[in-house]
Amino acid sequence: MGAGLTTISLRNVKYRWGPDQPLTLDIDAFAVESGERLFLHGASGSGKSTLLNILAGVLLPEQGTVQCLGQEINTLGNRERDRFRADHVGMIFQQFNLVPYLSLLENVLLPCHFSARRRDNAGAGGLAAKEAGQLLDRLGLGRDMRARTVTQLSVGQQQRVAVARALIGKPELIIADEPTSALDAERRGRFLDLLLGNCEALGSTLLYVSHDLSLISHFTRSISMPEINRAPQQEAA
Amino acid sequence: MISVALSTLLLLGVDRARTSARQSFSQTISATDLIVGARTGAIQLLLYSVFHLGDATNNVDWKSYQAIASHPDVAWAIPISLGDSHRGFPVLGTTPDFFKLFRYGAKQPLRFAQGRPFDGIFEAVIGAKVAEKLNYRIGGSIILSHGTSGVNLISHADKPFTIVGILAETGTPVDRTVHVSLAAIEAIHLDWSGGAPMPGVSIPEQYVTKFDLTPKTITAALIGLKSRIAVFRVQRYVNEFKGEPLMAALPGVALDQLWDVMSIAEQSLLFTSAMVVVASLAGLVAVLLAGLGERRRELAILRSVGAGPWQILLLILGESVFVTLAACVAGLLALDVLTWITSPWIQSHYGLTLSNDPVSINELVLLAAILIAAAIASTIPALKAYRQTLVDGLTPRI
Repeated sequence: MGAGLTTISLRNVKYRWGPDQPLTLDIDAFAVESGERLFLHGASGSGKSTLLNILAGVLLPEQGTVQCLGQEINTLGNRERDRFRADHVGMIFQQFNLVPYLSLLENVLLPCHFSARRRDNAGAGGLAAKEAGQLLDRLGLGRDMRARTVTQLSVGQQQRVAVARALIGKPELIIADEPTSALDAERRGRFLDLLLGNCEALGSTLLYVSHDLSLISHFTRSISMPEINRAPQQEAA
Repeated sequence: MISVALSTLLLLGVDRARTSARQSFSQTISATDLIVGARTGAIQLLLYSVFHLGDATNNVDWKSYQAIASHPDVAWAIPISLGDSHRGFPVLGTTPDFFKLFRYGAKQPLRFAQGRPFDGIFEAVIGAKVAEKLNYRIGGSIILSHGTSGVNLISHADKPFTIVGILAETGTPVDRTVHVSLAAIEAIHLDWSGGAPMPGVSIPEQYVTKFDLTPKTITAALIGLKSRIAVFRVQRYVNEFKGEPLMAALPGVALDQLWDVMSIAEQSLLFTSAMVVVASLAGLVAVLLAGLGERRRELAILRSVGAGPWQILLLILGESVFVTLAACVAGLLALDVLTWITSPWIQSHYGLTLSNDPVSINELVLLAAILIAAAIASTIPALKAYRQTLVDGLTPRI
């Protein structure tokens, strides 16, 4: 990852949910540099969910270009976008991050099922499992924890497993959608440190969405949705 | 999943019982190559000669019987005479050879639970059900009645019979029959004419031996041939017999025809169980559909690691088919265990031999049909998941 490369660049992106709906997203320009740790402040109804879906290649804008890691993903077909996301994006949700019927290691290794690139990065064959184990160790979930099922973990522990899953195979872009909202105040700080530290170690770009303004100090840049989205704010659905 | 397993069990069970019943039925009488009787339909001949139901339209002359029995291809012949009954059970007049030569099921011979075949004139051998229902024992005395309908029969009260043998249960009409000698049938009708006792004539039992007790007519005869190949030749011989109008029926063929008549019952039973399977599959689909709402976050996670909507669809489809497959296997295993446990009891109570094969071709076809139906039904939740994930993307609104 060279410094100064743009990880994300949106130009003139417009999106609406239905043909007779008002615009949800109307973004003139939005860019994220490589290696940045960007804090994106968005309340519900601000269009942040739609933006995340577009960045991940799940939705296509009706207009505009979405450049991600040098590729215009809005020109890719559905399957190619899915593959792009599998290869280059790690995602952390606010809660219920884990698939309940899989083991912890299987949860962490999920991206390797969908992306050959990340599988290779993690190490082919049994090495990927070892890599997953090391990630979990670094996040404070040692071997004795690993035998537990998803439901036996606390929320904080689940979130950390989610971080491991997002990081395995070294994806270039990490998107975190309010990952600390479900944690209590004292855990938040520790969690953030872990997340930021690991992202930095891998050289990944982090896009962190939250409405907890108290965390801003941890990030290199902060921006709020209304600053980039010209579309009128919607009431939460 | 349990309901699908249970309904599979039901469907396969019904099918297995049906095929076993058919097989058992066609083995009501085995090792008999031909049944000879007066010219009627094959089913009718079968009904009265083997099942003792209904009446013969005509009798077979003793001389004709002897001619047929001495045909070079005939290995053995058992004459039978019907027309009397005992408290609702048919009485069969025959020779002691009957107990040696009659076969049923998988070529099983008749066994005596107690006693021996009849020897003297007024001796009777009763089937297992007769003994059970009327609570008879060896040495008991019974009176036969003339005719086979249940009511208003004139009885042969002056000539009682002694029970000397009770047969073991067979699950065939033999169980409900009272067996006596041909001579006995003649004896009880000595002082009768045209179906009623002759007024003023009475021949007490101790004098019957003074008369010639060779039967003049019999109702039918069971024939065994020296070689199976001769069956059509002998059949033609009987059909074209110059002495009187006779026919020879192949028991297997006639049994199959009779079974087809009853097939409506088995078809409807099969149909009902198929409907039960459909109902349980519908239940499975409903459960899957309901569960989709709960799984939106899980599906969003899968989308986030790179799954496409198509893969989600296949996942749901695959889950459903897999559950059905597991349920089918469970149902089949349960059926096999159940069959293994209950078949001795069923055999002795209903005369039904359940096949012990773990699975038959027919059952595999049924299982395949169930899986295909499940796959088709599963497209409903799979498509819903597909549409749902397109709308939800990574951020389901719950």
